[in-house]
Amino acid sequence: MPSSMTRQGVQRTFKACAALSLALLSASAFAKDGGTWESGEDVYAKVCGYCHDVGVGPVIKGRHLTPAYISAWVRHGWGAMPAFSVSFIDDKALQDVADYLSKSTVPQK
Amino acid sequence: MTDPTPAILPRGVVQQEFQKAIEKFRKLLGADNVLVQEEQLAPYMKIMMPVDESKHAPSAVLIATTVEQVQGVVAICNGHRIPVWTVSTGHNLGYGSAAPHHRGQVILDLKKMNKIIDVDPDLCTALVEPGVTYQQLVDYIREKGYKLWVDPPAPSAIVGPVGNTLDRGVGYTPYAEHFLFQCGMEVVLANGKVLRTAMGGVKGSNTWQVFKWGYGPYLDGIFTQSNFGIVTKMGLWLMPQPDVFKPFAVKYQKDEDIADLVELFRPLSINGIIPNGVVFVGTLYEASATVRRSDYTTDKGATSKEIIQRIRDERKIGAWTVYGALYGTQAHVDINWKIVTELVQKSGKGEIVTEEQAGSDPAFKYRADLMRGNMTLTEFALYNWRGGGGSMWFAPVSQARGSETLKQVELATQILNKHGLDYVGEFIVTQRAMHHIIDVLYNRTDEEEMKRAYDCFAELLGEFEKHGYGVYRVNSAFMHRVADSFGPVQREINKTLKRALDPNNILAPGKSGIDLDT
Repeated sequence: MPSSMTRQGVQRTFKACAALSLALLSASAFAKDGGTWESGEDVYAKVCGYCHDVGVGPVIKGRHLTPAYISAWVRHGWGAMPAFSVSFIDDKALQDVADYLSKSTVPQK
Repeated sequence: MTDPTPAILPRGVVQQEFQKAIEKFRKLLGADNVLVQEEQLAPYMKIMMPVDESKHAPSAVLIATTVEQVQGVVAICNGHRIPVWTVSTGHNLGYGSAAPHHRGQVILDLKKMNKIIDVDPDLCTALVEPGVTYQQLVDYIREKGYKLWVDPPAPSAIVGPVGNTLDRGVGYTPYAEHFLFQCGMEVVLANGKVLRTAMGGVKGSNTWQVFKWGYGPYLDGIFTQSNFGIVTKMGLWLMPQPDVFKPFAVKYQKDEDIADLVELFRPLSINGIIPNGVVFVGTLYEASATVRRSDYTTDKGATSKEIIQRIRDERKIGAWTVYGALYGTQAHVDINWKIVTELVQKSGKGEIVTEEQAGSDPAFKYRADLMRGNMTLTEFALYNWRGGGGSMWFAPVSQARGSETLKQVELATQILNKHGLDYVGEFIVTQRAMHHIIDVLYNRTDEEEMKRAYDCFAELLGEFEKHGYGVYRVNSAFMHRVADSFGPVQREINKTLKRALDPNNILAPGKSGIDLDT
């Protein structure tokens, strides 16, 4: 019999993650051997942009989203968003993509 | 790192024993590669199934990077009877994501085992590790300047060939049946030995990635949709880039057209005129690239026929849209295009749409991208239809006959609508077989809707089984249920193999319903 993760549960988890994510972002345990990411722009182009540039996910460029907010969504994958583990997008790459987005502008239509 | 008191333990393992195993994992992999903190485990908890996350919560995650480490993990798991659920990229969305079959299993994450060991541009073969994604493979091929294509499933960039092939997933180019185009595996067995299948066993042989069968029983199949070993390398064949690629769509206006369509296109699939799977997309599946349900209604329950008709009329979407493509030399494609267009015109119905005519239509573009192996995630727009992150693939297989279509659509629609959900489906004809792919979409943040979705999926399985249909793949909440539908003799032979190959039942118990403890 199924039961549910409640909205409160989602919010609680989000808050817990948001509080921790700044600390996580400052670590770079996997930065060197994380594999394949050249830069934040590279992560955006090869993962995020496939949804967020084509109207599948919301626009995230030019919105001044905080690293903590980005990290929480990437790690939890709420709603339609897939979750990405540290083995897929390491903490350093996540910081880089957050930096890239913080400097980005709203795309021209 | 201070360990929290573990809230989650593997089945039948006491805390002290688990802690001893964790210490050994740390020694083997390094403390940074043994994840036990709640926030570290969060990405592995993401599921789209209509059950509580806690039912599929892992107790820990291990990140391995070498075959020797995988052997070490297996040894520790045997010593402490720790069940281990292996993932490659962890994005088996709609089938269970990264989460283990049941609560407490330790996840072995092979994403960082991501070496492209070889790509041969002449023989069109590749040998890769489990963490290699299609995006990584495409980048590599581009960098080398090879004229080769990959064949991704719809989540292309964020999944990889090993995981998808082992789950017997499919793509959209002529190399779509991934297990058919797989050649040679390296497998860490539960006893720690490393098996190289087929020609991989012959010392000095260079044929591991070119000849599938080897000598004696063909073993690769038992390591797909199973839990008899951990695949650490896999060979696959890559499609040489054709001179010409011509994607097309044909739109049909009436629901009942589907029966004639399958009869019309099946011969083109069997005789190779259309070499990739021919996809027959229903209205709401096609609409999902550009339409959200909330654009038309916010009422709970099934979407009315009137609204579906409005979507067809306003968005110019057919009851069915057929997608296929032609591949080859210009002369080859010209002849086949003539055959296709004449056949459609002679049938007296259907509006042909070429890539040029489609322009910037997002639905056509993503289908064309998939049929040429481009990276695209546009199919995730399905998750916006209702929102809330609930999705399960219901995918029964039948003969590729028109007579199989309408009765399946009617049965599925009736069950889905009864539970307040919509028919969002397509058929894929690959020569003789036809997959009916239905995304059971629901709002996972609505507890009542989640319960309906669970009941709906169970009823779909049950009712289709009564009509002689089996599914080709299923999410981890329903694996035992589906294993039952394939009969007791298959279940018993799988258990016999499990006893022989993994007597301690440590490798992914529950996968495909194979578990010595149940």
